[in-house]
Amino acid sequence: MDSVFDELYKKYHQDVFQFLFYMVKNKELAEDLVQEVYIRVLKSYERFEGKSSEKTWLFSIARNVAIDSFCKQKGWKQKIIEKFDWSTQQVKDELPLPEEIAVQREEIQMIYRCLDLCTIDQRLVIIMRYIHELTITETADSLGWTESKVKTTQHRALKVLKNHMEHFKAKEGMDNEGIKVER
Amino acid sequence: MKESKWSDEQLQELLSQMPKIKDNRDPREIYQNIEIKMGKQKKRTWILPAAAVAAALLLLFILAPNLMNWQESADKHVEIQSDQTQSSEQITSDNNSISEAKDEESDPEPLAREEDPQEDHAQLSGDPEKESNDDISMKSVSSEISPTAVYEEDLAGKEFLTYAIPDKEAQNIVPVSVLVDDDPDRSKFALFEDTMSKLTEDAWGLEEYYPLKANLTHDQENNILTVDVPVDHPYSMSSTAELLLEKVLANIMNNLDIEKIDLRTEGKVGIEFSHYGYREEFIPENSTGNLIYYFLYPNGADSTPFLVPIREELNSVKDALKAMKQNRTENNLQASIPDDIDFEIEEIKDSKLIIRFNNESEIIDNASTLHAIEAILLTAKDFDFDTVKLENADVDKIGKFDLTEELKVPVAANKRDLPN
Repeated sequence: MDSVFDELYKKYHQDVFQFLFYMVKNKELAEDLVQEVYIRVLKSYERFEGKSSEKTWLFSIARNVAIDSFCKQKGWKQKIIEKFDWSTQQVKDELPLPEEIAVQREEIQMIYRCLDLCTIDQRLVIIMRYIHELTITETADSLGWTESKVKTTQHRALKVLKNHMEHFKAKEGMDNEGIKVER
Repeated sequence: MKESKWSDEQLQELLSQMPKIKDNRDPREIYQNIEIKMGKQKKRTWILPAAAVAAALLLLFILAPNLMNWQESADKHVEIQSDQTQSSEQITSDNNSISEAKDEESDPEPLAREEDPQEDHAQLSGDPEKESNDDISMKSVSSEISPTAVYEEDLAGKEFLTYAIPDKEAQNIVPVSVLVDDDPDRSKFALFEDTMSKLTEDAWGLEEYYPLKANLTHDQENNILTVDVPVDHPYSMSSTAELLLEKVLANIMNNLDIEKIDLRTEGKVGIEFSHYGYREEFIPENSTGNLIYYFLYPNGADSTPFLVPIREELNSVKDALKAMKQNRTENNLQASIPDDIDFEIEEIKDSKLIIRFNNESEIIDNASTLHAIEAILLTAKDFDFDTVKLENADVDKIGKFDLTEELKVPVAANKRDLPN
């Protein structure tokens, strides 16, 4: 096996895979995309100048791969669905939760679902900053943004999450203990 | 309302507890997949372009002789035509009306006959429908050089609706106008909204943009438009998408005379854009300068161009017409006045523009000259002229334009037909 591949696999594979998974929320797709990341990396490994760390470089490639896959999806799937069937749009949220998430407590499941409601940029920042615990500098590096853009996007993303979490909570509260909410 | 229950720290804590997701495949398996894919891609990188080049060369080889012949014959045709015009003018210089009638009879009709035997019959028998038929035959013959804009005479019983449509590269916003039957019971906005779904942007070579993925409601009393987008709206996918939406909304405001646009997301005030941030209403930037028109050929150089306006700060209509001779490669737009046409300009009382062509300029009756004249008229319109008089052209008539008369500026640019 290729030595570069071997090294990258050992150091970063699960990280990159997890990142892609949380971006696309689909294991099979994430498996395909992680391969795409390796292809791009192996093609351009000689051009890696060590300006940024290997880790942020990989994340930046993974991010491009994820965004490209969104564009592709938007390209044909969405267009066709939207053209022919308006009702299918609501069904999207009903995707079954993956096993790993389904066994977690309710709040985790909720936040997992709320991630969908962020924009792509916001989701990138949330996943990098809090799930992967990258620093602001590393995140800025991976995304090719300024640090202040990372901070504002992060702030907005948390706000969006907060709003939707409360929204969810309120809905559930109504179902279980309607009187309490009334007060 | 309830107070905020989640603090930033709690959320961060929760996010850090998200489960680790593992890829359970064997690294060997992954590496094999990659190798297979890379091998494929390598091959593809040169085979496809090579095949395309070969196909293009073959096509060129087959078509080249035909193309050359076609051009020659077209040139000849034009020469003959202009010769005829001149000679007939010399002979009957004292009687303009006769020579004009002769012109009309001498070229378009024989062609019309070949095209449609029914027309032939109508003309020979000279029945009362002759005149209207004549019009149709003129149109069908000159379909190749029909004008692209909407003119006053197109508006009988019709309402025109202008849509700002981005081109495929998202570089330009093209104002396209369609004509619909006027309905006194319905507001122009209602017609605008209904017609949105009938546009065939793709067939016109533009980006599929309408109908907008939003609910539009028009408050006629206060003249406010409400744009309500779904949560997963596509308008904040990128900063380009946001910019396009902004330009399109500004155009809608302008065309429908709307004073203010309120933004909503599924009924709630405001739209969260990923780059501009949160906005509650849309206020267009104050634009200065004039609109000058260039050609856009999304369907190849032989097709009918779109006339695309660019806003530019210019001192006078003279500078504007000069600027229109330059290609705008940064926007993928072509010059709308050929470089070899020169002219002098005279403005009369703000509302009338006189353009006198120099003797070297070749002004003949063909499609490109017609489109250039339309570009001049549209630009003149933006400089608040009502009419334009073209002088010292080599012919008296170009397409539908009678150059002996003052030409009225168009109502709107880029008329396109809706599918029935």
